[in-house]
Amino acid sequence: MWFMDKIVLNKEGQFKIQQMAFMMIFVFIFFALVGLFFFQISMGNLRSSAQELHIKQTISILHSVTELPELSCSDSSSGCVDEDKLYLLSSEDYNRLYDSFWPIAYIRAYKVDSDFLTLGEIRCPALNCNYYDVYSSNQQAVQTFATYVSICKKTRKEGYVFNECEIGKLEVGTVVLDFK
Amino acid sequence: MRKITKRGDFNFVWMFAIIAGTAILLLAIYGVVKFGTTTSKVQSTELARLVTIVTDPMQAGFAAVRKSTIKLPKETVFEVDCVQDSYFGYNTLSALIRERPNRDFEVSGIPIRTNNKYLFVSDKPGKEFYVFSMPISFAFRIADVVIMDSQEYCFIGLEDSDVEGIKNGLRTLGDKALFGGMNCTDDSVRVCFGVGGNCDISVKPGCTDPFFCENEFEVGVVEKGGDSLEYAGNLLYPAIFSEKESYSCNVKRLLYRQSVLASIYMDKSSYMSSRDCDSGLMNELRVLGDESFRMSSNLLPRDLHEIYFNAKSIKDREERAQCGLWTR
Repeated sequence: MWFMDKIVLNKEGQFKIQQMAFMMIFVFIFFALVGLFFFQISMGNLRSSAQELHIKQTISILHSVTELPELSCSDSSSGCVDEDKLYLLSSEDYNRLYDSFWPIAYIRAYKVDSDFLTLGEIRCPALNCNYYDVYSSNQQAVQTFATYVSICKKTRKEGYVFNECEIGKLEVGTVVLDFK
Repeated sequence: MRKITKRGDFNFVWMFAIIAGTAILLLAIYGVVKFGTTTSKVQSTELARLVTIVTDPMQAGFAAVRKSTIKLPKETVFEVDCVQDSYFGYNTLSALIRERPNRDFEVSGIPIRTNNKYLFVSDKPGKEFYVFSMPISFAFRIADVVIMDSQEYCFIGLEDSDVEGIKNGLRTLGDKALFGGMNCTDDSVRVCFGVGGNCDISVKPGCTDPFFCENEFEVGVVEKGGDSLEYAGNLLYPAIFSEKESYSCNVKRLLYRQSVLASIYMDKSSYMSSRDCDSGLMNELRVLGDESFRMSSNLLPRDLHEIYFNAKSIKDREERAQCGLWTR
């Protein structure tokens, strides 16, 4: 019966090899899962810090945008937006030109005094318009930040040159980063 | 028979374990190294992004100069690339962090693109960087350039009272700015204004007529490392603190923006005319816009000086006009 012994022993060897192979695979899968777990945590932190930086940038742009020569009332003013410049930058030509210039999703300036309840939102230039679309990237998911500014235009009436101003709200939007 | 078979099994099992174990170990080491590299890359990218955000409020506006200091835990080098495309062009900023002393700056982060900034950054490593912005105006304000450096500078030849404005601008560097040859240290970069001697950077005056200029250095040439960088007005500062390639690319970007702003002011002027408030600057602005647009693609020697004086005369006229376009 010596050959029976050999068959049994061979089977036992094969079983040991299988056992070892499975063990190796399980160990590998275990470490891979642990690695994936840590990777997921670090990616989560990275996502939140990317979104946080994005928001920080938008807020800092909101503070500095009224001082840009493209929008400011004059070279020495702060918190004042020139209505003529708003009108110009809302036009299609300048919109196209400045398309890649702004690192945000949109810039919009509202005339606060307007009767939004009765009139609704009317885009300038139009009769009784109440907002200017300075820039829009047509993004859907955006987070909005706003500040109050004066919207002024230089004019001459009865021989006097002066700035005609009204209260405005400057709104900028940042893209909500989608990591899916 | 039994013994022989067992030894054969044992050998195979060990061989299999060694091969598979080595493969797993190698894979794990590769993963750890890759993870470490990715982490460094993330850190560098985050740092570059933070710097671009920190410099956002430096669009000085009504304030003349804004300054700040960036202190970093590890030695870092910032690299700026300038691209001038058909529109406003852009800068990219990337950071390289030295993870351990005496090791190279290995991992660079992803370059952060910024379209509305003009960055002039020194390529020297450091832990403490001073950052300041300077308004650039050719008739009207075009933008605020951002200058970033970690080196100590020593300025020689700024003793006269008529260059006090330049001296004040350079004082923005704080304790990294030394004045007078006697105060220079071995590590400081020696910048000489109009005087010869042992200088790393020489500023040659270009204005001889006191009728046109506030001081002889209002326009001129900055010579460094065999390169000549022509400057006018506040462009003196970026010319001192940046390399030629980056300087001329950013100057062309500024000139392009000036041409667009000239066109905005022309349109604004026509709107104001309809409100009985004519600035009378249409023709001058058209010439300024055309000139700066031409120079933004092909900047010739003396071009900057010419456009600067042209812009200066337009500024004088605008300030006298009742219906000014960019002054209150």
